[in-house]
Formats: sequence, structure tokens, C-alpha cells
Amino acid sequence: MARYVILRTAWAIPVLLIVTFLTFWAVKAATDPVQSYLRINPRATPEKVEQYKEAHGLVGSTPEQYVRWLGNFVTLDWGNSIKGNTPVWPDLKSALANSLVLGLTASFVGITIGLGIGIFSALRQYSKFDTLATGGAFVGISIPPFVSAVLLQVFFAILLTGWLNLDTPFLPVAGIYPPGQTEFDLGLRIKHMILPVTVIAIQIIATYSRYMRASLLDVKESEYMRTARSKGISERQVIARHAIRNAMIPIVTIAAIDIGAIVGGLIITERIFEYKGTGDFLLTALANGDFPQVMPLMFIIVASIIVFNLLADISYAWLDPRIRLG
Amino acid sequence: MVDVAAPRALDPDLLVDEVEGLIVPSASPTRLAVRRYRRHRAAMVSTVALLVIAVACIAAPIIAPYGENEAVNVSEDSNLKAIHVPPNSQFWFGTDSIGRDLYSRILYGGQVSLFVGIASAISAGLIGTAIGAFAGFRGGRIDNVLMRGTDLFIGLPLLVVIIIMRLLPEKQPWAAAVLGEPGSKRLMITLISLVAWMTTARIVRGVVLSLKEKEFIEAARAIGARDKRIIVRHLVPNTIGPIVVAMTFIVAAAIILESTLSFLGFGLDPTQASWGYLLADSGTNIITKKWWLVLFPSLVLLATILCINFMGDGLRDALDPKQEQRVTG
Repeated sequence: MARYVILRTAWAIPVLLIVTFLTFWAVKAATDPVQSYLRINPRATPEKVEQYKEAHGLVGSTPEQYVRWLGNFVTLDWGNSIKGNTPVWPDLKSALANSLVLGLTASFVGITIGLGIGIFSALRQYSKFDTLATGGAFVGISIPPFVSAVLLQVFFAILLTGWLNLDTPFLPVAGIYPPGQTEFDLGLRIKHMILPVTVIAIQIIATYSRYMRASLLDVKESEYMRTARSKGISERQVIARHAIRNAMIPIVTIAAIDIGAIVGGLIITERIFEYKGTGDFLLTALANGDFPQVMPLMFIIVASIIVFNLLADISYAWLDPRIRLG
Repeated sequence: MVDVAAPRALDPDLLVDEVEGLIVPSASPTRLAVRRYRRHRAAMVSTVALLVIAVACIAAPIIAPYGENEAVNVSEDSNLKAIHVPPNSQFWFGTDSIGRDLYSRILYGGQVSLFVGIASAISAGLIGTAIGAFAGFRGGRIDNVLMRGTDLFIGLPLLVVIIIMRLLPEKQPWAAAVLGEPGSKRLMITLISLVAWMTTARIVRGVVLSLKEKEFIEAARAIGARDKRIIVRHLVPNTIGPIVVAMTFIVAAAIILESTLSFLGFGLDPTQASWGYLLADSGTNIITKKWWLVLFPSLVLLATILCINFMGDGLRDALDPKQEQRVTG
């Protein structure tokens, strides 16, 4: 097991470096920091521009620039944004925190409900519930998140509010707090998160109920289930101890991969609900061509995907001995 | 003997009886596939619905009551523009902020959305088929490298990748030359193809890998058939089903991607107002309670995507009967 972990980890490091280098190259070409600097500071003299390039490591070949940038990134010297000249880290930190709160809440809600539906479906295959759940999952996966988001907004902010004759929208459709609110308020925070969490959870419920159903049906066919039954264990125990546990193995790895994708995966939902997370941060930074803001976030996005993929592989090997021994 | 069986075999709803298999002339695989498709009720309903939507969009110049960019007056003898009119008998889906008829705009917008979706699916399907077939047929190291690359690509957040690539042509002239001008259909189709080929590649590779071991390929090899003949005569006809299924799902995915990008402001230019573009102002429209401007485009988009996916599901049942339902994310 230790050997497996070391080998997989050793493989992940060059992959991380190569992918982030390509990202660095692409992001620099797509944001063009010097051009952005000139747009924000139109009267900068050529000397000023040279000075800026020098100070921000924008001289030399791309690999040289990348190594210099990586050095600064690792030592947490993230510099200032081009627009507004504000430090990158505090803004990025709060965006990361907001996205994680949203993503983890939605994942928890979505995975719990999804697994429940999946288990129930598989145990009663071809029942009415199963047909309904499978059809619902198909529809749920098909709905693009921005369509479900705007439909929820229309329903809760306009139609329902109109029918109930309310002065304010039934549920808030934008932001993390109402305008003006600066202090922490759990009730308001939850209220503002209901719609974004629903949008993300719809997709998660749909995918995980399908995964769980397929996985559990697979396990139900296996021979160790028959062995367990023939030992005289009650059906309940067979399901709980043997079937669901084994069916969970592939689900755990999929969940690990999905959680790694949270940092870069909530762009649409965050933009629609004006939720100040990494997606919103990224879109604004890209629109401003703000390379110093985009690149650290991109590195975190790529690193989180690679690390969680690694965790998924390791957990799979740990949970299923056939992988590491085979 | 044939005389007895013929009338029964001609009845399309009648399945060939396995017991009578030797007596009844067997139906061709295509015939069987059509039968299976026709029994998939959701797919049949979707086919009809999608046809209606597609025909209406293509015939927009005839059907649409107003022009795509025509600001309509309140009445014949008035210069007042019909701004933000809620749905009524004259404007079925209402009008927008400068008095354009939303129903007409949705019909014209459908041309853009459907075109980009289908064109992207064809090009992504071709790229994926080529890479998957090559990897599967050659195997070994080439297969390993190609599939590692595919895995890596699948892991990256699609939308982030595509947005960054979308910005490239705006800053770099070489990218505009290679990928297409910013806001053009060509750029959009190129970008979507570049991120959407992976599923097809994986599927085709899997099918080719399993076919390679089949006896009929071995038999073909044994009688001296060359690689080219094996690929053209045996592998391609046997992979066409899964490829068509995969491409159908890519059409839906491409329409979603295009509309998402246009919605976020990274899509086509305003002269090509796709369904996603019509929704781009939904934030303002929701605050100002112009619900029709948000509701109708999103419902049309949703209906179209559901129809295509159900058709894909039906096609999978029809063309790919051995394959268990794959979980597609």
C-alpha cells in the first residue's frame, strides 16, 4: 500500500507542474497583463511599463517567468491586482471560503439525497418509485444549471411573490447578504443560500442516484451476496453490511473527484446568484485581464483537481484490495 | 414455406419469433433498430417535438410575425415602440427593452443554437472517433499516451478552459487566425469541439478494443485482409451505432455550452442572438420583474435539450442494445 501511495504521489507532481505551466502560458496569453496594465494606466510612460514588467517578473522566456512566478506563489508573495492595485490574497481567500461553503453544503445535501434515492431504487428495481427516480434523474442531468437557476429565480422572486402578494421576494435571488448587511447572520446566510444550493444539488442528486443505483444493482448480482445469504444472515443485514458497503466503494472515489472540482466548478451558479465565490472572482478578473488575480486561482483549481484525483485513487486502493494487489 | 411466413414478417410491429427464426425471413439489423426506437415512447414524442421546434426555427423568416431585430410599434398609426409588453395575443411571448417581439427572436435564435450544436457535434464526433479508433486499433504505448491525455482533459473544469480559450483570440492575433475571430460561429464551434471530443474518443476506443478480439476480425486477418480493409469493412460499421449515440448527446451538450457562454457574455456577437444570448440580461429582467423575457427562452432551451437527450436515449436502446445504460455526467 505504501509503495502504491508513493508511486501515485510521485506521478502527480510532474503532472501538476506540466499542467500549471500550460495554464500559465494560456492564461498569460489570454489576459495579456501588460496590455491590461496600460488599459488601467493609460498615461504610463514606456519606462513605467518596463518598470512594471520588471517588478512583476514579466521579462524573459515563458519557462523563466513561470519558475519565478511559482517561487513567489509558494512563498505566498501573491502581489497586487492590476485593477485597483489591491492585495490578491485577502480577496481570493474570502472567495475561496464562500465557494467552499456553497459547494460543500450542496454536495452534502445532494449526495445524501442522491444516495438515498439510489439505494431505494436499486432495492426495488422496476417499481414505480424506481421508474420515477430514473426518469427524474435523466431530466435532472439534462437541465443546464443556468436554466434551472433562472427558472427558480423567476418562480421565487416574481411569480410566487406576486401570487402571495408579498412586498419583498419570497426568497432572495442574489448575493450572500442583503445590501448593507456586514455582520454575520446565520439565518440570512442560509436564506440566501437556498436557491444556489438547490441548483447545484439538483445535478448532484441526479448523478449520484444513478451511480448508486447502478453500483448497488451490480453488487446485488455478485456471488458474495449469495454466500452471505446462505450463511443465514437476515436480508436486512445482508443489504446493510455487504451490499451497500461494497456499492459505496466506487461512489467514494467519484465523490472525492467531485469535491476537488468545487473550486472551479460553480462559475454559472455563482454568477447568476451574484454569490461572491471563486467563479465570480475568476470571471471578473478575466474580464479585467487581471493576470495577478487569475493565475493563483487557476493554480489552486488545477492543484485541487489533481490532489483530489490522487486521493480518489488512493482511497479506491485502500477500500478495494483488488486494486493495489492486482 | 416462405409464402406462409412472409405476411407476418412484413408487419413491422411483429417481432421475429426466435422459435420460428428459421422459417420467418429474419429482419435486418436496421429494421430491428427502427423497431426498438419506435417502442421508446419518450424518444418518439421527443422526435416529433424537436422536429416541430427545428422546422419552426428554420422557417422563421416565414413563420415569425416580426423581424429578428425589428422594434415594433404599439399600433399601426403610432410611433410609440412596444417596450416591455407582457405576453398577449399580438406578442405571444411579450417584447423586450427596445420593443422587439420575443417570439420572433426565439425562432431566429434557434437557428443559431441548433446550427452551432449540430456542427460542433459533428466535428467533435469526428475528432473523437479518429483519436479513439487510432488509440484502440494501435494499442500499446500510443493508446496509453492518448488515453492519459484524454483523462487529464476530462479532469479540467470545462467552462474555465473554454472561457480562457475564448479570450485568446481577443488578445493574440495568431489565435484569432487559428481558432476564429472573437464572437464568430467558427470560434464557438472550434472551442466546443476541442472540449467535447473526449467522450466519443473513449467510447470508440472501448468498442474498437473489444472488437479487435472478435473472431470475425481474426477471420478477416486470416484470409489476408489489410488494416485498411479491416477498419473500413469491419470496425467502422460496428462502431457507427455508439458513435451516433455519443454524437446525439454532444448536440445537447454543445447547445448547453454555447448558450452558457453567450449567457455569460463570452459567446457569439450580438448579431447572432442565440437562446443563451436572449437570457444574458436575465439578472436585470428578474429584478425589474420582466418574467416573460426569462421564462420563455429558458423553457424553449430546456425543451430542446430534453428532446435531444431522450432521442439519444432511444437511439442507444435501438443501436447499442448490448450496452447497458452508461452513466453520463
